[in-house]
Amino acid sequence: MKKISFVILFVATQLLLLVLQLHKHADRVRLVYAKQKKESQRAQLVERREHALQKMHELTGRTEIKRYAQEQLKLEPIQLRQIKRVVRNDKNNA
Amino acid sequence: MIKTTHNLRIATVYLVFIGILVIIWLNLVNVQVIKHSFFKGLAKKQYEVSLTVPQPRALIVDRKGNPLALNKDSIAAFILPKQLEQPQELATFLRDHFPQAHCRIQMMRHSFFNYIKRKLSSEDIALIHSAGLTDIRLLNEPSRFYPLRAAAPLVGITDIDNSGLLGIEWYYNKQLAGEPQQAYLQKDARSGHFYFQKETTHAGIAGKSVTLTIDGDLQFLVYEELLSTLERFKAKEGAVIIVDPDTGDILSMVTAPTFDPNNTTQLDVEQTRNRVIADAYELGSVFKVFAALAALEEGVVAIDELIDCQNSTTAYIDGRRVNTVESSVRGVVPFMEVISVSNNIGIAHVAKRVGPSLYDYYTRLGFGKKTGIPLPGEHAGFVSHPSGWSKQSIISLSYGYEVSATLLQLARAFAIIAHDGCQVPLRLVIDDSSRPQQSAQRLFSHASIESVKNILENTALKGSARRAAIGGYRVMAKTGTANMLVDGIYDPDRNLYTCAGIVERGSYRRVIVTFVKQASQKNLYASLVVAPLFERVAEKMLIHEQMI
Repeated sequence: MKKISFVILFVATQLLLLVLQLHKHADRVRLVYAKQKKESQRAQLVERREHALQKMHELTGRTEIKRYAQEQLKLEPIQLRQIKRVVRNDKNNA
Repeated sequence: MIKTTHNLRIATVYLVFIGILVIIWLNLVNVQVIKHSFFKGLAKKQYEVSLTVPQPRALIVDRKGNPLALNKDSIAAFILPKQLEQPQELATFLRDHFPQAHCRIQMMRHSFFNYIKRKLSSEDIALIHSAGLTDIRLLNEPSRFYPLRAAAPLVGITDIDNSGLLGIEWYYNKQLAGEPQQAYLQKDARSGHFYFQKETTHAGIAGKSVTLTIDGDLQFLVYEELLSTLERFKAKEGAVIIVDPDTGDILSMVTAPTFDPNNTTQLDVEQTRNRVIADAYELGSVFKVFAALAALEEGVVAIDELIDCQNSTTAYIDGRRVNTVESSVRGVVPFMEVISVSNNIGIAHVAKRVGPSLYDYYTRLGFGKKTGIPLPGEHAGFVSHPSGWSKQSIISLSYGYEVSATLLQLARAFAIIAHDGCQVPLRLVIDDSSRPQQSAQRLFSHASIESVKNILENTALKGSARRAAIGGYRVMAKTGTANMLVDGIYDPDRNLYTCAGIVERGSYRRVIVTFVKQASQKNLYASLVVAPLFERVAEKMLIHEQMI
């Protein structure tokens, strides 16, 4: 191989490696950026979930349920004497 | 001549270049070797950012997994005083709507960062948005939300920086908070948010949730009952405890009045006290049960032995005056009746037979010693040592004076009776790793415990605690009405009302302690104030636990 051909091949190889390296770096930056966007979206979703959970616990608070039961549904607290255990007789049912 | 001059010029240029090269090399040596660490640090400052990411605070849940403390974001408003665009408008806005912040910022105008207000209300946020001032910036900060107000003094709260301040939040702060993650971000020097690489230097430890033995629903039901009793008798404060004596689990620990854990802007410190553990009281006649247990264990009395109660409201024992209430006056009656009617004279006679050993029995029941549950501020109570006794001491100790105890200690002592004289350590937090597996230590004989249970059952059937009885269940209870010590004098108009007992059916057992302090009405007794509360709490508990 002539000296000049070797030099051209060497330089071309180096340029190709450089381009590949740049491409790799750009790709990595792009993926890191995409990952960060996903992380940010995840953080937002977690935050929304926390808000929803908190809202749910506020709405399902025992005081709220009691108020709703007594005011809206006109329910009254049950007394022990009002409850009777019914013993299920499977033989008779069969 | 020309050639010589030419060579000289070349040599000069050569030397100049060599000189420049040497200077560059020296400079490189200076930068890269001598000042290596300085420039490395400078580069790091520009390209690398140290980041500390706090772990989300772990939850506190009840025994069924229902949350008692949740995370939520609160909003804080702040300004950067060095970068203000509309200082005049901002000052006017702050002066009108956030005067405290305005004063503070005026004093610290050279700082780089200043909070206007943290934990903003929705009205504050709306106000800031409507003002449209770009200088006011908002920041999300972690904080807590507590769904069950009834558990407030127990669960506690966190401070403005979300660090535990009271109760379980304080005691388990390290476990709940975990350890923050630390990372290095490699950034473009001009980019604000984007990073090229993230290197975790410390992985951090996620907070570990705390599971309480408390049943949240039962806590709520008991709290409602306690509030209604306090309202009915216009009493100053009250408390209720429910314990499972077989496991030592505290199922409910309620005090009232209490505070709103979700609104701590105007917090009354007195209301944050967990009175069940933080206050020790002279509980009065409820202690007759333990004096009776000591006498039975010592073998100085039998359950059916006749005791002379002197048929009077006042008697003198060793020259000391002993009073008993009108309703408890009896002549010669069996020992069981002495306790069930709560006669002070009869129990004082029996306690004298026990003598100084009474101290040992009281301490064996756990009085004067902390229960060791993981809550801050527990009071150890006090039992007067025989070395410091006067002639009055043994008499006073027999009906619950000269001995102070927390309500939790009282519940523990009843749990010993319920558990057939064996000790089970009380438990507030379900954590298998921290609890040594040990067999319950027997403290009292089975015979003495059975006798005491019969006495208590008789008290709930015919005696002072009959309002605590529930049809279809074995209820064993004792009431106590004690005068409060005010400025060194027992005040008959300020009383403590206690009812402690055991509800049993088959293998199901629960210890309940109900307590009310300072009802506004005069001449009340525990049998009227806290025995009905005991009955209602027991009913709610039985329905809730489906023990029908």
